Amino acid sequence: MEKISATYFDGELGIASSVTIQSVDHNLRIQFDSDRHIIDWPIDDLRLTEEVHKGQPVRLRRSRQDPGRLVVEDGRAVDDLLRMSRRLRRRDYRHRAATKRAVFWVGMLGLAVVAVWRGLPLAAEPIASMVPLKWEEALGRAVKKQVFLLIGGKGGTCDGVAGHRALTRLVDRLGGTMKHRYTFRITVINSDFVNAAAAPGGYIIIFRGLIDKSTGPEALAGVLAHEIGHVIERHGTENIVKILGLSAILSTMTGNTSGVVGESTAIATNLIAKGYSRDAEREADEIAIRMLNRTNIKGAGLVSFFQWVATKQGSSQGLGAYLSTHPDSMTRAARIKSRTTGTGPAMSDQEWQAVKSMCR
Amino acid sequence: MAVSHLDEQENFSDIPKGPKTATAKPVPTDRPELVYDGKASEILILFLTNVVLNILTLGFYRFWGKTRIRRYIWSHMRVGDDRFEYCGTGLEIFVSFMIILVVFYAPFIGLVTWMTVDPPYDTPQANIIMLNLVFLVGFLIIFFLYYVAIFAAYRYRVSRTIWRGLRGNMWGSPWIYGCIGAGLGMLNVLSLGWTKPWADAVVFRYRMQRAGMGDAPFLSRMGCGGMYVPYLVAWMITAVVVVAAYSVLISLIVGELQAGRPPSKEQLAWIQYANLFGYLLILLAWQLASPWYKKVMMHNIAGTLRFRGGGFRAGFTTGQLYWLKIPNFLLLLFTLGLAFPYTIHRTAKFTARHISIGNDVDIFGLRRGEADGPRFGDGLAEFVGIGGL
Repeated sequence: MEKISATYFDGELGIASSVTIQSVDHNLRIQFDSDRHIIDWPIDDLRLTEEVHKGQPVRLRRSRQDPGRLVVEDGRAVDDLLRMSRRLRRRDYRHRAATKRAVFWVGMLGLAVVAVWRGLPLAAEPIASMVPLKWEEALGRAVKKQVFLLIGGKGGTCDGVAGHRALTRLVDRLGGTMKHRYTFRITVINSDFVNAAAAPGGYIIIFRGLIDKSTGPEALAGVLAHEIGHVIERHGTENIVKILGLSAILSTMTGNTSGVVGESTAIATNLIAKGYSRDAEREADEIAIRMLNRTNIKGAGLVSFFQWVATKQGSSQGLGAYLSTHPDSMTRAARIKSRTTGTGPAMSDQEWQAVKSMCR
Repeated sequence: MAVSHLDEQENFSDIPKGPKTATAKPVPTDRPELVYDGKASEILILFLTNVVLNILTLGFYRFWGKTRIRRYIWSHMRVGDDRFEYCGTGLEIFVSFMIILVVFYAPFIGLVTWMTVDPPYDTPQANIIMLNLVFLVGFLIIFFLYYVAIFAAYRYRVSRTIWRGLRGNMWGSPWIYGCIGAGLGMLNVLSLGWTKPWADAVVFRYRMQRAGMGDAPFLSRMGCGGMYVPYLVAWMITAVVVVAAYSVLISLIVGELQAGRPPSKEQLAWIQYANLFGYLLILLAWQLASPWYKKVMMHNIAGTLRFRGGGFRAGFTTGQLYWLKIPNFLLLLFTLGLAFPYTIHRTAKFTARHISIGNDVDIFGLRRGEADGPRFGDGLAEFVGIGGL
């Protein structure tokens, strides 16, 4: 190998020494131009101080302890030498064209984004199913507490015993048609809110407004079946997994957690999570239809409820909230109408009266 | 070119300030100059690689990715013909990150989760008070650690910087800096920001005074002279925006909510977005109002810094700083941080173009310094929101 001129820094004095380098028996021989002093670096020990890009000198060092640095201005001259070392990877000192690398990594990014988008909901299911029942129930209690704190208001809960028994009977009848591990616990909150909610672990919360506005027990049964669907499919738990995963991925993606970036990723997480929750609503509807059919409860009650909701959409704030994450009510009404086959009642008139008077 | 603002001109008798001094003392040909010759495209590719690998590794690649970008930037920054070298490793940062994760972060998250999922007390009030107490203590610790992290990150980077075979050095303790920084930070809050220019000068001087290259220390005589007028202008503008934004927000929220009715999900979301928007507006207002102050401060930092008998100087105008800061801010905001590498590139270019080294700085007679630098990396920065680069 021919001799190449380079610059050497010994790490003791900040003085640049002109040297000549060449390979001699698996060693890189560094010879000082001034006094012919010689230092040998085993070629296998050679490391680059950094990746070399176009127009940049090749800078070499030996081990972590050796402070010496060798700078070769003409990188091409040491190409053969670098190839002899086992430690060095060619792509670290001879990069491919920038466009090629850019196209490759943009493609990879596209694949990764699709993988996360599609994969997260798929991954959330098995992860959520690994959560023990005890944890889910604890989580559910916490969520229930939050709901109480947020919208429970001064009305408190409705504890009419007969009504409560009727609701429990209905829920057990609906839930009994599916395989699951939950014990359903119903709470009725004395509030005008026209809504119901399912917390993980079998906690179902009904607001009095929903009972008041229901045209009959069948409509209420439909909404309850929908909420049971959320519980059985573990949507609440899955949602927590999804949001945690999504925010973890989005916020670590760029490695930047500063204020501006943090806020904008939070908004993105929120929007994507909304999209996921619409899928969950559709799934819960499907299960509700199946339960209503298996218990032979009329679907017409739920259909008319949704039609009524559609006419009121947006005009009342309670309803607005109910609809914000739910699919379009008219579409839902049409789908339920075409798929339900039940013909019987959800409960006796006596029971329905007991439910309606629970809060009095 | 107009002569820029300089606080202590007597330090600069040897640096050419205009045609007059330049003719009196000709610039030697080997005058060391700070040069940055990196390409935006290369940093973007490095960053893209990081994003993909971060997604695949759930974010754990970021320590190595960050190291690669630092190496790129350091090696494309040079003084004269001599490039800087960054000799830190991803592993060092990873180890420090894991230590803090295990010792501090995981127990804290565990405690909060336990208190929410399985409340330890019988009454809800007691639980809420305890949880808030835990959050308050956590916040105070983070507030303190934020300043510790600044110093630790700074020390790590300086100690992993090599130039002409010599390492940078940093003395002083991150914990002491944390106490000073957190104390002054509290003072700034209590004084509604009126002590900030002085506090800024104190912390910068502390950091500058404790840095060195090889065996030679940097000296700083930084004070807050000249910084108050531009600060007050920035303060007033931001204060007006804060008051205006929040009075509009609060009146909107009060108008929207009907008395006695609980807020609906939509309204809660709406309030959340409005709050976020207000926060961004205030950030933007500060970005728009503060460049004059920042210019004066940076000129002050450079102008009072001495190294081996010479000085430094920052030569940019407020307008030039605007052109650096505002596009950087907007780019980050609208790309979810994907434009981050480009903002780094712009900042590096800006720094090299506008910071000049006086030709009386004797940079070639340095020797190896004493300190070895910290063993671990700057993983703490990840926890307090300053882990960008």
